[in-house]
Amino acid sequence: MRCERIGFVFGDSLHKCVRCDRAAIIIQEINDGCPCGSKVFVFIRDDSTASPLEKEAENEKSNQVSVESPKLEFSLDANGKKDAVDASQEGANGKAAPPPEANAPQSIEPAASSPSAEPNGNGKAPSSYFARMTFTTEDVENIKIVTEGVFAVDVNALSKNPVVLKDEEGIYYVRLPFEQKKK
Amino acid sequence: MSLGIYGSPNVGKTTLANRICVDLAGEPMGAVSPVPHETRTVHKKDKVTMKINGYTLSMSLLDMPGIAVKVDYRDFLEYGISKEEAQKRAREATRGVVEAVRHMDKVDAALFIIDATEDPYTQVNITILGNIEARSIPIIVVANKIDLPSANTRRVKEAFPGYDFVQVSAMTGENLDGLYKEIVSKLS
Repeated sequence: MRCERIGFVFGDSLHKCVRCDRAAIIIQEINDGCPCGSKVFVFIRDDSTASPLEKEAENEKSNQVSVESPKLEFSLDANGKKDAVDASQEGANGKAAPPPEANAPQSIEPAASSPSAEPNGNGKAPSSYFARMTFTTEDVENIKIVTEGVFAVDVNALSKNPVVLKDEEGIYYVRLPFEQKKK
Repeated sequence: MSLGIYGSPNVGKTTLANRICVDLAGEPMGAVSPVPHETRTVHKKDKVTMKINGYTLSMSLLDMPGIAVKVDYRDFLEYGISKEEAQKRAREATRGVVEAVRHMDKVDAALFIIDATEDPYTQVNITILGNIEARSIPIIVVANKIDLPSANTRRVKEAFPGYDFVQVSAMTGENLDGLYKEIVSKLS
């Protein structure tokens, strides 16, 4: 289905109109706007062209959805009717696993907007992102690398401690204070 | 008065603290290990009394965590420590570095220990000595591990010429008397 609509593509990646879901056919469409009038396109990237960082972020997102969605999943039937399906019951009844298409982003979106998955829905950052942004009494560091180019700083701790930076891997860097003798 | 023992990890701070405590207070202070950052909190021993040449000096001895500018959990993995435990150790060791730096405002005097088998011109050595001196705290530079063949005490002395200097082996006890005399003459 997707291939029929692909026009302006990079490999399997494409720009889709957010209003009518139509793929842009030529690059001019992205500049001038979709025939439906919308000028907003979303770039859908083929996995093979994503950077390792983006892949990791995507994996994190999908992992969290898969953890939260077993209780209640949504799917769209042929008439577009939304059905709630208890995944654990389905497994117990021995039904076959849903086809791969059911795991496509379209089916994940309703699940993400379910109450259990709310922290990740509506474009919100995953909870682990905020965990990295906040400081607790357990933390030694006063600067955290949240992600590449994004830092969280504990200003209070900085005023009375050496600068301690923790990278994403858990390695600590300390900037010792350098005081000179007053003459 | 309180005497802080400062230096980088694995220079022999706790070995020296144990030697002093056994000599002067009858019991050791803390565990010694080849794994860096074994001491991750400040250890304190009160009522350590020295009697040298008619002078008596009673003090609290503080064994500080090793000060480093980078604590990498991967350094602990080679000692058979699990990744989770190594990361926990790295966090505690970093906390120890912060604690040691903050204690500079609380000690009355400092022994700055340098491993005589290693290059003394390090960022940590220079920075820590500068910070202690900035607080006008009396310092004795101690070149340790002189029992090892690769020890080069002259290099240590030349690196920090403005400081009182003693060379010892905390492991064997060599020249500990010389250190005690220096402490008493400097602080009494």
